[in-house]
Amino acid sequence: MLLQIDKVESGRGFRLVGELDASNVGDLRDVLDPVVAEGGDLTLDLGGLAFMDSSGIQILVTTAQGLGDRGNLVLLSPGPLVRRLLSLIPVERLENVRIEGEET
Amino acid sequence: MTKARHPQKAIRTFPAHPSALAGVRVFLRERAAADGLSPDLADEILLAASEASANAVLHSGSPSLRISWWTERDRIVVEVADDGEFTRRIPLGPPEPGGRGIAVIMALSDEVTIREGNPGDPGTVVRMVKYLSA
Repeated sequence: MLLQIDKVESGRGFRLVGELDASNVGDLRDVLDPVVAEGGDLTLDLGGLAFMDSSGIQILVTTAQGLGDRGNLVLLSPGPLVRRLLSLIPVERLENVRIEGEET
Repeated sequence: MTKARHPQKAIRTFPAHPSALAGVRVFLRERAAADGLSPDLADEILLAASEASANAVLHSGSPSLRISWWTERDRIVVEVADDGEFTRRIPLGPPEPGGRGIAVIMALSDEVTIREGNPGDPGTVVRMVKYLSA
């Protein structure tokens, strides 16, 4: 499977493993939509994500905007390629987005 | 005409479907490895060419896309071509999905040339150039 979405045991969040593109971004949206509707902080562990394109950026932005002042979106441990993409479209400028963790 | 000038030209055709994008990345990674590119340079070309491919898949209406990769003296050239139309989505307000893709291509390439396909004259070619020496 190209993208694996695992719920993390502690806290509210998911670990993404594999590659995120237009073929599977809908799967991630289906997982995140109910969490956004519920509100509260959300952590996405990106350490296992070997590739992400702008369709991934799009869902991070809509997720952060959906949470609004009801919760923060934490992006954990993005690898070099994902970091490079995030640097172009700095999603952390959105008030409720933070990038944490060491580069993996 | 290009064969003589670009003996190392590698060309691969893919169906213009989201499920083909993973195969596009395999091809791009193979070429980057064959040319011995640094990981950072390989990532930048992979990101830019993947965005051009995603645009062809999602917005062009073309049944397929072709990716060409070659080296020219001190540069890598990657072309993503389709048989469809180019929709201009330069983001001015809140970016649309296609607009972000173009922004990524522009930011990560040293030169970009876009031949825009239109209904009367279909076929978009996005040529991305990356310099090998900084």
